[in-house]
Amino acid sequence: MNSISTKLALFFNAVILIATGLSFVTVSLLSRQVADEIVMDHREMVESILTLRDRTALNLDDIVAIVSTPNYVVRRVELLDAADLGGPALERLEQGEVLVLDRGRLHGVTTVLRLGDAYISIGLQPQRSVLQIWFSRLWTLIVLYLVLAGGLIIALTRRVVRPVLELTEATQQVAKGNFDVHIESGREDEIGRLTANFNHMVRELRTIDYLRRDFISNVSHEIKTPLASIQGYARLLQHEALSREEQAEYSTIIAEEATRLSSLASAMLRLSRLESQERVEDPTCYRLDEQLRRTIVLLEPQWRSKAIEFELDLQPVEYVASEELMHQVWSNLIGNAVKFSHLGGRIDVSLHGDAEAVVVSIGDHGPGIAADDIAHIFEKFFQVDRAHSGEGSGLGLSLVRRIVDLQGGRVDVQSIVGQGSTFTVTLPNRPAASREASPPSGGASR
Amino acid sequence: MFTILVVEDDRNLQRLMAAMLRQNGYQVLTAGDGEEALSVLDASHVDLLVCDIMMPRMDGYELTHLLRRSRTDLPILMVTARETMDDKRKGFLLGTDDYMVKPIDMDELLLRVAALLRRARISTERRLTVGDVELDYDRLTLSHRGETAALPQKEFLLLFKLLSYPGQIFTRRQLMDEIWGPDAESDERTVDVHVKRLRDRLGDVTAFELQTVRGLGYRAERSS
Repeated sequence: MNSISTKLALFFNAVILIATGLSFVTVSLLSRQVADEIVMDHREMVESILTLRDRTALNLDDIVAIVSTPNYVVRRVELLDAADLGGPALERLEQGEVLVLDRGRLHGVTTVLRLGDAYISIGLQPQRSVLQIWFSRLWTLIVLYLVLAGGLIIALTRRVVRPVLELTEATQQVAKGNFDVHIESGREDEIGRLTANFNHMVRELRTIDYLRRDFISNVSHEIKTPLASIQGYARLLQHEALSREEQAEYSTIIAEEATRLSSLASAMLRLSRLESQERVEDPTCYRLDEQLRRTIVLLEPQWRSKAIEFELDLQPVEYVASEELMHQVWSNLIGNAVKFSHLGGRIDVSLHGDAEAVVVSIGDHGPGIAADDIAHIFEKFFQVDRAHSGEGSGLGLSLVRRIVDLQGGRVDVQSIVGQGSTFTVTLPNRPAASREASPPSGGASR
Repeated sequence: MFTILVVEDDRNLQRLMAAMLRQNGYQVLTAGDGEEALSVLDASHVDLLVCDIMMPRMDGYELTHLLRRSRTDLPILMVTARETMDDKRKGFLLGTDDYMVKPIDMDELLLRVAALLRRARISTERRLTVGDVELDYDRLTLSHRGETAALPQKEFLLLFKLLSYPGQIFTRRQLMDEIWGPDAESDERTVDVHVKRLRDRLGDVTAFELQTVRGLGYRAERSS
């Protein structure tokens, strides 16, 4: 009973039923009534004619003129069509009887009587019919019916359309950028659901808009901070009275800040590209263990200078994904592990795969992440320790999360403050798993 | 002295790269776009080209394409803000030797320029010298303190590869693919076996050392 279609159908059925029933009853009642009335009118008119003839000296033509009414015509008929009446009827007429002749439903009856040597016939005016008489009585009813039905339908439509109009108004508001719109609706039908979903959508848009604004303010902050340093230290360098050490220090700061800016720019570019993307582009089948090894090799300058050792446990696994994107995942995670490792620290990287999933875990023995911070580390621009961040953009883990999401996997973090953090990436295994069944060459070398 | 042509339309960056390269003992010529670069190349001898991609009139892709079509082996290093894999792929397909994404680290630029020049020399001279050791690519021989010995082909190629990129780690798979070919049936342990043989052979060589990087692979480290 909640659906509008049912309501409308029921309503119209009711209208049609009631209207038909009513008109049927009225018409049938009235039509009999009209016929009876005509007969009675005729009888009265006959009496009038007889009275006028008996009690006055008026001649027949005058009487006919007096008795005639706008509805009925009284005529003096010289000759009757015998065939029209039939023999017995004519005889009864001759004996002074008043005859009522049925002329059919539409024309009612004609009354005929003999008066002296003339016949008088009383009938409907030729241009009028029973139907017209009905209509003359019914028109008010019909008009009333139309007005009432129309009014009801309009009222109902209004009731249906009002929330739609409200929604239209609200969508216009949203289109203009006003995300504070909320529509109240106690309904539970389609319109009610639409309104509820609309409200939900506006709430989501509000959140997205908030995140976007937040992102922009974050970005401008992240850009302005290094720019301010660069500008400030460049100004300082313009003064000549600086020692060589000061010059070197300031120019190092400028270089570092510029590096931070540039890594921020590339990370933002990558992230925005990834966010507009719904699936992994050009996936290829490749050796995941080899990719991890090469990623570590590429990061060598960073870990070598900190004398970090890698403990590798890499099972040979073939995997189907976008090699370039996965490389970004590993280089971010391993890069972070290097960044947060102490001098001479150890980083454990392991890779295990079976038919269902591939699990890569990257663990450092650095300072670890506080429990409160773990929830936020995948947020854009979140950095646990700014002093440690160096040239980080705060976008690396957002990138990792996004890419792993695209791949249909997930990233988990386990961290104990003071003992280190382990990032575990679990990826669903795709058709490459079948190749895994046959042992790949070189598997036993490590 | 090597001559390097820097093709870059951004004045400041061009001056910066030129200054950095000059500071490090290279002779530097400059050009603002591809067409200018071609006329400089016509007029003077150039050992290496550092070139931007997005430039007016003739861009870096077109310049590289033209140079490679005219069969020049001139080493080309592309320096550009375009960092997608597609851009890099296009660059390498057109024939660049190396690719750096802006903003570039000047120290890295110098290292890459040096490496490109060294490799260019190796490929023209077909020989490689590390300290008192000399490798002859055509004869597959190793000369050390006046003694010349021929090496088995795979061992020679392995050593040549590692010494061409001193300090760089190569994974076993990388070495397999390069020397035995990607379709080789052999086990990655083959690399270990060859490295062990090379080490035995190079027992008295002190100019460099073949190091094992645990879990990752090998590198040749020059002795300081």
